[in-house]
Amino acid sequence: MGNISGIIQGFITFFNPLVGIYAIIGFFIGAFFGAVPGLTSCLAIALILPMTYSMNITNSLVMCMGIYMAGIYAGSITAITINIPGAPSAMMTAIEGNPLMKKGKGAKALGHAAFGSMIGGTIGSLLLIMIAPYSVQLALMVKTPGKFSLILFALVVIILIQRKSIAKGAIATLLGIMFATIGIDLMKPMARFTFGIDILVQGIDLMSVIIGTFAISELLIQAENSEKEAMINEDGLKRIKRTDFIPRKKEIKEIGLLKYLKSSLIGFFIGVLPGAGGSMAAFVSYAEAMRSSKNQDEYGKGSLEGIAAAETANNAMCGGALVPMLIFGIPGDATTAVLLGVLIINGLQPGPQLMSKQFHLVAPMFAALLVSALIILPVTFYLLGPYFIRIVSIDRGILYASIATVAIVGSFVSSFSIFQMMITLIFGIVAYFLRKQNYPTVSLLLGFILGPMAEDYLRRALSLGHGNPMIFLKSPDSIFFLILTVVFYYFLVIKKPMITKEELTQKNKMLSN
Amino acid sequence: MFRNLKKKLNDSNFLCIILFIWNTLYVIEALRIGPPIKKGRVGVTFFPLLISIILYIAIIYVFFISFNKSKKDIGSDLSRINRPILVVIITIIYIAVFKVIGYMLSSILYIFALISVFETKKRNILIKIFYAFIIAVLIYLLYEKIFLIRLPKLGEIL
Repeated sequence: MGNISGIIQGFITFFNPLVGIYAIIGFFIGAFFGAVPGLTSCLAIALILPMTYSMNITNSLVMCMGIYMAGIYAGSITAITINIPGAPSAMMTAIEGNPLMKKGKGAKALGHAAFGSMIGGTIGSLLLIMIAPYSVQLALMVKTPGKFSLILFALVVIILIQRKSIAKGAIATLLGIMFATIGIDLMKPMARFTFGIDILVQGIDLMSVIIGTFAISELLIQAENSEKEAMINEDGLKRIKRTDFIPRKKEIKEIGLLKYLKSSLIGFFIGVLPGAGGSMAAFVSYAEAMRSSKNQDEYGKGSLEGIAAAETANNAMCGGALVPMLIFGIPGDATTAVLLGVLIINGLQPGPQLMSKQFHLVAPMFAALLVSALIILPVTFYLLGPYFIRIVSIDRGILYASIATVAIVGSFVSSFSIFQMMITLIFGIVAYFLRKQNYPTVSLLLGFILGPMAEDYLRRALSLGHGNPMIFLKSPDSIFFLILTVVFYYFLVIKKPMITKEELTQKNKMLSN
Repeated sequence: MFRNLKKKLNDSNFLCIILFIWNTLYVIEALRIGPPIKKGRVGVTFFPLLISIILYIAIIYVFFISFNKSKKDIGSDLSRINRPILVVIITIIYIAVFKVIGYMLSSILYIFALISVFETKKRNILIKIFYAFIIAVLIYLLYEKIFLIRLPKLGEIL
């Protein structure tokens, strides 16, 4: 009963115009960052992170939800119009949406992408509202050895999910864990890994890692590709009217409500997995839609069903990714990892305590996610759809110069330290070289966040067991997570999924040829 | 033999070598701090050393995998990094002068430099200065006036 009243209170807080306006501002920021190729909702939250210091935490979280939902959805805009996904999660949308754009049915594709995002986002948010508050009891059952096994499970999944190169995923994650060990030890008042440099005693600020990994590395990648300019066919867009964006009833019926529901569930539960993210949600949902479709021939040539499956799933993922982040402090994807940073930087520790004693702070966030998907998304898309499409034409020089300045100044305001500004730049350079060699930098950030927790619980558990590692096999919660780790290892490594993203893309290319 | 080895080395395994060196420095530092286990109890370096061992295995694995791939297979090279290097140098200078000459002046110069690096069509220098000024002022207003965060100033004016 307490949870229900808490959620109602959250909605009341959200509908205070002063709070709700933050969701709308966030939505526009997210739509902008999602629509510009190379920029993501994750980067947007990383950039506003320093500003959250002087903002009310509820407003900050509400704004972040708007950014999150809009950023995932807006990735489909450039995926459809210019065949460059604005966000990685829109890759499958590009496969189906761009052929429709070429056939002059771009508005229809965009409309279905927005409709799918709305359905997926709404169902994902509802599931979050239903599941998250009640998972607290479950989280309280996990004791210290179990907490270590849970984080170990999360770290192993983060690594295994990088199916293209598990070893590179492992390197990035381990590097993140290592960087987190620099500074004062967690349990003893002594400095570690300072390499004789006194200033390193203060450790590496989470903000510097987030801004460096996502903003500065992106800037360097874009500097490399400076000569490439995204071109949009203006002639094809002039004819688009607002009403063209509204999906026809007949088309929605053809796709089927069951497909929307299935894609939403796939997206939500993939979101719950640590490190999986929207891109995997969209891919799995798309592959499942294709497998079970009566119109398989249309796939790769502009299937509305394919667009609906991918977009529904990637927006449903938003709600799912927040569950482990809020309950255990384990982020489900890159954006929730940065969002975790927002909570930590503002003095909130995710976990059962947050969900039970400070629920009034997170409840408006649930409301913001739901309203962003159900109301703000369709309304803004209908009103501003034609303008969203033109976002891609923005001047790159002005855009990246602004991002760079906000990022560097942001790293300064978090600590008022020139040293942390330099650390931000160093992390940007490290992440740039890692990205060039296809190392997942999201894993680096997740390692940086989860590393200290893993070490803390490991040392505490071993201390409780007088140094005997058998303690991890004595408590049922720990055994459960260790078995879960083995199960995931079996399914992701030994019994590899039937089809990979590359194979599917290749298959679609062949079909369209 | 050396020439053959040089030919085989690509950007990927070059990065592995750097990571290997970093990991070794990390291990040396850990051993300098103290033993991982003391009197049957884990010490402050137990977890870091455990991580280092796994990292060594992963680095060696990636090194040998990429060693057998040609430069073409790796998919990226270091030949296009002139512009990113320029951005890094400009950013280092910006950070170095940020507190000395204040936010406004340093940011106008920084934004101007970055617009010049990223621009795809040549623009008049005055227009670029104008854009740099406008962006710097907008960011200033965002931090100082909306979020009430003080930024460094030159002589309390700029």
